[in-house]
Amino acid sequence: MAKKIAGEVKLQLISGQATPQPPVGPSLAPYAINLSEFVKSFNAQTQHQMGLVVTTVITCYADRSYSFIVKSPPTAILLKQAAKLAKGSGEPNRDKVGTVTRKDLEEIAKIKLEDLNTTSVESAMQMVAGTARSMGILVN
Amino acid sequence: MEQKSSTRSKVGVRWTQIQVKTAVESADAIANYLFENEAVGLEIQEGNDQHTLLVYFPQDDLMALRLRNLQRFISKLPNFGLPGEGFVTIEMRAYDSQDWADSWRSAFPPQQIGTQVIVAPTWHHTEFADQDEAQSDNSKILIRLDPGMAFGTGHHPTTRLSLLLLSDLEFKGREVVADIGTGSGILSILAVKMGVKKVVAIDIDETALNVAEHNFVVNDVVNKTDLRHSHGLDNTSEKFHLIIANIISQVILPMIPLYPKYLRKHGKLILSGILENESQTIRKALRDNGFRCLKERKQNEWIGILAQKGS
Ligand SMILES: C[S@@+](CC[C@H](N)C(=O)[O-])C[C@H]1O[C@@H](n2cnc3c(N)ncnc32)[C@H](O)[C@@H]1O
Repeated sequence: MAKKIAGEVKLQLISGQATPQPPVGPSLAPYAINLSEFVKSFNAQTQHQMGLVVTTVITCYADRSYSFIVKSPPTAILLKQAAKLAKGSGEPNRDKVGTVTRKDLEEIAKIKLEDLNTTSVESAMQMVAGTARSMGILVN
Repeated sequence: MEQKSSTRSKVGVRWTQIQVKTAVESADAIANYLFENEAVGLEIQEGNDQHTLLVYFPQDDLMALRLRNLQRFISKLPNFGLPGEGFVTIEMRAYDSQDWADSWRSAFPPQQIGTQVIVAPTWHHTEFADQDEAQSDNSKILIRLDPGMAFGTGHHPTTRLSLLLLSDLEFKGREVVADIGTGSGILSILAVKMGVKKVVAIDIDETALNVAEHNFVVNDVVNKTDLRHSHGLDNTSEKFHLIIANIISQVILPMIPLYPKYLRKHGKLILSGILENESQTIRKALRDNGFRCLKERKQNEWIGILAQKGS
C-alpha cells in the first residue's frame, strides 16, 4: 500500500552545503522527519555540483519518513552557466556582465517548461529573458 | 553593495523570515537576487499565478538594509520586462524556534582529516575537539568552522583532498601562500596553523569573503592573512612559495599558464576540484607549463594534485 503523504516541500539549496538551519529546519519541522539524516543525504547526493544552487522536492510521509529528488538547477543558475558567469550583476541596469544567445534562452526555457504554468516555449523564453536582464545578462 | 554578514551559523541565533509573494514570472529573478545577497536557501510555495518565497536571515542590524535593497531590486523588475511592484509583496516576521538545533549538532560532528587536522564547529566546546586538548597535543591542528556559510567545511571531497595535500607539506615560517577561491577560508587557516608567514586569500564572491573574515577571527589567523576580492590572481603582485586552488576545472585550466609567473623558483601548486575524467587534461596543461606532478590523491570521483614549478 502506498504510504500516506503528509506534505511536499520545495527548496532551493546550495549543493553539498545544506544544514538544518533555515530554511531547511523551519520548512521541514511540521513533518518531524529526521533533519540531520536529510541534510547528510542531500549533501552527499549533490556534492559533485560544487556549491551550485539546486532545487529539491522533499516528499514527507505521515509516518515521518521522507524521500527527495533533486531537480534541474534554477533558471538563474542555467543562465550563469550559459554566460560563463559566477555571479550576476549587482547593478543590472547599468553594468552588463555577460551575454546569452536566443538559442540558450530556448534551451533553458524548455528545461523550465515542466515547472511553469504554461506550455508555450515562447512565453517561457520571455520569462527567462527577463530573469537574464535582471542579472545584467544581455540577450543576443 | 557590500554587506557584512554576521555570524549567522551559530545555534541560538534568532532569525527573521522574509516572505515574498510574487507573480510567477518574477520568482526566478527574485530567488537569484536573494541567493546573491546572502541567502543560503529558500522555500518555494507554488501557486497558480503566484509563488511564495520564504527566506531567512539572522536578526541583526543589517535587516533594514537587506529589506531596502530587496525593495529597490523589486522596483526595478519592470525595466527587465518582469512584473514588479504591485505584483510582489514582502512581509517580515521574527522566527526563533530552535527545533532544529539538535539535528544540527548530530549532522555535523567534528571531523578528523588525515592524521593531523580536526575540523570542528564552534559549538563543540566541551566535547572532543576542545581547543586546549588539541593544542596540548602538538601533532593535531584544530580548525573551527561552522557549516552552511560558504563552501569549505571539510565535508566536500575536494576540500579534504586540499587539506590532505597541504598537511603533507612542511613549512619553515617564511613562506607566502596564495589561496585562490578561499571560500570559508579553511585552507588559509590550515596554512597559517602549519606555520607559513602569510596567506593571500582570494575570492570573487563577497559573501565568501565575509565568511572567511569571520573564520579568520575565530581561528586567530587575522594577522597572517590578507583577504582580497579578485578574479584569480588579477591584481596580485607577490611571488608565492605555494599556490592553492580548489575550484572547478573550467576555472582552473585557463589559470594554469599564469601560475608560473606568480610562483617562486621550485614553488608548489595544489590543485583540487578536478574530476577524474578531467585529470588528464589538467596534468597535460601542468606539464606544458613547466610543472612536475609530485603527488596525486583521489577521493570518490575527485582528484587533488600537488605539482612543482621547474623540472
Ligand atoms: C570549491 S570552493 C573552495 C573553497 C575552499 N577553498 C575549499 O577548499 O573548501 C571554490 C571557491 O572559489 C571561488 N571562485 C570561483 N571562481 C573564482 C575565480 N575566478 N577567482 C577567485 N575565486 C573564485 C568561489 O566563489 C568559491 O568560494
